[in-house]
Amino acid sequence: MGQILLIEDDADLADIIAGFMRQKGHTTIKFDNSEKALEDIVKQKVTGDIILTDLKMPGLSGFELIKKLHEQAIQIPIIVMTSHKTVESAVEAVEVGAFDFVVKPLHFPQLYISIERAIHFSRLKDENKTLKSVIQIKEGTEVSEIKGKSTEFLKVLDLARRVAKSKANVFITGESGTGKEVIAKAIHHMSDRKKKPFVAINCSAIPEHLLESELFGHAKGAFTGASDKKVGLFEEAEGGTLFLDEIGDMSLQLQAKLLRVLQERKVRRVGENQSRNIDVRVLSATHKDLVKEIKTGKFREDLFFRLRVIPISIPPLRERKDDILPLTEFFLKKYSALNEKPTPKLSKETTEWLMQNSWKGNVRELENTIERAVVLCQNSTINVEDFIDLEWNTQPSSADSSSNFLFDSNKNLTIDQLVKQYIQAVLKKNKGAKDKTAKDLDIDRKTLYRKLQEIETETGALNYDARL
Amino acid sequence: MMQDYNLIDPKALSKYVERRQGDADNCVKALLSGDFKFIAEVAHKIKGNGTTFGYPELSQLGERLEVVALQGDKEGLSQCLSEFQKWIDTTKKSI
Repeated sequence: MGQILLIEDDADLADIIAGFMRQKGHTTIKFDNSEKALEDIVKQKVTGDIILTDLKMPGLSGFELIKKLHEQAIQIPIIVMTSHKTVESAVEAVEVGAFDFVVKPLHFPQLYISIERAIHFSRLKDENKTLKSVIQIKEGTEVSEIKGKSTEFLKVLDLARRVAKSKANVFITGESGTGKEVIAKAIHHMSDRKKKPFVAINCSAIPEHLLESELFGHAKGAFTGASDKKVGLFEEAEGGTLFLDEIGDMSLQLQAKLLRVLQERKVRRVGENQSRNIDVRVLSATHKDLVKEIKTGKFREDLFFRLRVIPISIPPLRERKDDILPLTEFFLKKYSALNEKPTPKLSKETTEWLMQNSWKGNVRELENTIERAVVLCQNSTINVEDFIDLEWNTQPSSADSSSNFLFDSNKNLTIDQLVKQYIQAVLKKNKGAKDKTAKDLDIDRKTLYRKLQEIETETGALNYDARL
Repeated sequence: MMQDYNLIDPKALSKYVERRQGDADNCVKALLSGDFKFIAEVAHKIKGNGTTFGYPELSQLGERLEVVALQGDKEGLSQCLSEFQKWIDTTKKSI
């Protein structure tokens, strides 16, 4: 099924073409003049898989339309319709960029074949473009590939672009899911270090005693279980970039060691006496308010200033609503290509719903929501109903699922199993927000991460939802 | 290649013929007021789309109507418009 943008001043012909296309399962948006069509296409008020246009029309001719669309870098395949007396012009239209032409009086089977070919071509082009961007994202993020058009986000990108070439440490702040690592990767990708490794670590996901050897490495026999020597992430990132995510969760003891490494540009593996020179640019991020953490003595001020040479703050998605639709469009294409499905359209209600949602989980939540909708959607258009589990966002927060948490006494659960079930219930109640969950459970974030990792290892997945 | 007219929605055909009645009425008014340009435009349109709807005879009539309108031939116009009305009446019955 495809969407055809039909530009034809003869209402009879437009009607019959639209009727024929409807029988074939395609939708048609009709325009009786080319200027209006051009305006709506350029302003993205309408989108289509192909454009079917008359060649001779009052106002802008089919020729001029093709030229203007190409000037605007619009790549939708164009089929021109022309009378048999002006076939030469149609051939000329193909030479300037039309995909194909059909001759009037229209022969419907021929028109149908031409349209099917054009739609197929259009889909392949879209898929190709999306796959290219997916590969680029996997290999490293370029700023040009990051979606967003809001003023707030463009300022972030501009700053990232400017700091990329410098050697200064960059400190990225923003709520969970705003894309801190994406920006970090983009900075690395645009820097002179791009051919060297980009190494990322989430400091809150690793138990403290392991984090030190993870960062700095260890010698064989340095501690119980250290059966072999290990190269730390600082050494792994030699010549490149090390991204320390959630640095606000690092212990004070380790903060001191990190500060020394940053000052001396030398690293010493746990259990070794020898220091090794390192050339690593450090980017770090946190969702926490470190100024507050410094005041309460939980974060070292000197380390803070060492890391925060250039601060970048990513605003939450709810404060840059202009980014929601471009991001949605990108994720739709990405997950359609990955699932080998045609890219679905969004209904008007869906677009409104997406714009009104608060997106507490930011871009990550939006991405997961779109992925799920693409997988579950059975039609060419995504409707609000395709976003299952909407109760998270659409029902009042009084729907407290943890208060309904019951355990089955017949199952003879161990205390550990019971604890894990309860954690999942509270996490579900909090819509996946780990901070709030840790606070509600009165445990620290690291413990929560560890428990979640254990659950995932045991069950293969977290059953509260994958939206994290 | 032969056109398969079964592909055309019958509702679209009946709407097409209804619209031609409007064209015929407007052409008669235009003939009375001497607006031959208007008649030539209508004629050009039916010349172009008649065959698409499965009415090649209408396209031929449109071609003749366009010629006489451009020539300002009132007698030729009266005759063509009368044929046009007959075609509408006959076609309406056959749908």
